[in-house]
Amino acid sequence: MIASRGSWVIFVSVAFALFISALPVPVSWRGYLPDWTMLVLFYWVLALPARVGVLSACLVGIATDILDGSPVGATAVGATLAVLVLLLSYQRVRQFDVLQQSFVVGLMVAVVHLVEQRLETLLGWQHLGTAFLAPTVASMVFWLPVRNSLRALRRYYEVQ
Amino acid sequence: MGWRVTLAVGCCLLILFYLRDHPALERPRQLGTDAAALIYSVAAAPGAAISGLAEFFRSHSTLRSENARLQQENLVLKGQTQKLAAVLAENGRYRALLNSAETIEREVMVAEIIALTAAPSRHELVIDKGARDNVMLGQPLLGADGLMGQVTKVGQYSSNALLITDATHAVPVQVLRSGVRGLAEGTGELDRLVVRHIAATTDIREGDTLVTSGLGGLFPAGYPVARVLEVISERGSAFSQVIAEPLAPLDRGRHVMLALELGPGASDKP
Repeated sequence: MIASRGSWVIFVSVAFALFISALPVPVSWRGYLPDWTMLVLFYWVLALPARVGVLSACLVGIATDILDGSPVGATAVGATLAVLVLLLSYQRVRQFDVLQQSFVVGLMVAVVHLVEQRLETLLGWQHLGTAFLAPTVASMVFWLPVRNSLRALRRYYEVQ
Repeated sequence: MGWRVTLAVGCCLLILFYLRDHPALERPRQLGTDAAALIYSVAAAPGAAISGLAEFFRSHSTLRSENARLQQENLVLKGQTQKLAAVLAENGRYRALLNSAETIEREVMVAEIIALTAAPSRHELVIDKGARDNVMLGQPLLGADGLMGQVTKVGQYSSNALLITDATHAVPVQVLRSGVRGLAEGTGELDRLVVRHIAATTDIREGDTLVTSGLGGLFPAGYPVARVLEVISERGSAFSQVIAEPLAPLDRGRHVMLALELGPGASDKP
């Protein structure tokens, strides 16, 4: 087992993703923006599955819930389950080319939001239509740049 | 890994279904609301600085013309307020005649919008007044032209307010002209409200103003909400659907007003 180091890089990148999603954007853009936090989380899970796992996913999900104003725990359950799937298949997903990877990531983002939507509906928060799935497509498109920049960051700071 | 998943999901479900409204967790909830508001205000700071700078460099003539316009507007508004005072007094006398104990106070508190929250399917604002400024759960949020929403989360220094267009929001309304009552539901679009289940023979038409009816006890009666855009009645259907446009500009402006006058049931959960 190699000594882990560079935890702060993981922490800062997730915090930065949360910050980016809090940036003010015109209302009409909101459906075309990716789920930054989940993209960053998924990258770290695929890169360092031994360090970033379901508990980290749960914490990141709770942070997202607090920021979004969703009922605390809804996104967290979604993120935990999506990361569980990634942890069970990371060796295969790593071998995929970027297009296939982005499909997997998009699917996982969709899983997060589907679970979140289901739990919120159980709590009486109505969702109309499929607006809650809007970040899926954008997340697929943005997977490549996010992955590449985080990979560069990981190599530069030798996070392991 | 199994026990971790069970732990994480179990904790989340516990929080979601049992601890969400638990009174003992009031303090952490407030902290969460405030922390989110802090992140939003930091994220909005560069934009605010740029617009502040633009404001600083605005030309003298623009400012003068704006000043002139505002003075004129102020004069008009002052005139209208005088009329309002007379009307209020008259209304008070009528209420006395009807033995109604209801007092009419229309005091407001001004708050600044920090941000719209990040969830794309939700219409929720973060504002810069909280429990410290006596903001209460369920307090109506007003724009310059009409009702905007209600306070749903209160932190110490900030709160969240759900807009009337959010898909989970509904406000009891009545048509100002004819007094017909209905329920204006949010659609998830910032410029649309819908009133369903209006009997097809009801007197409601395009251009009518919808005001809060005060039923349900959450919103005080009489605040303007929306203007009717379209009445859709399908042939053979007993009900028509009314599409309305909110009067308050929900996607513009920086300031909102919190009505200090609460409906009788406003302290209940919204």
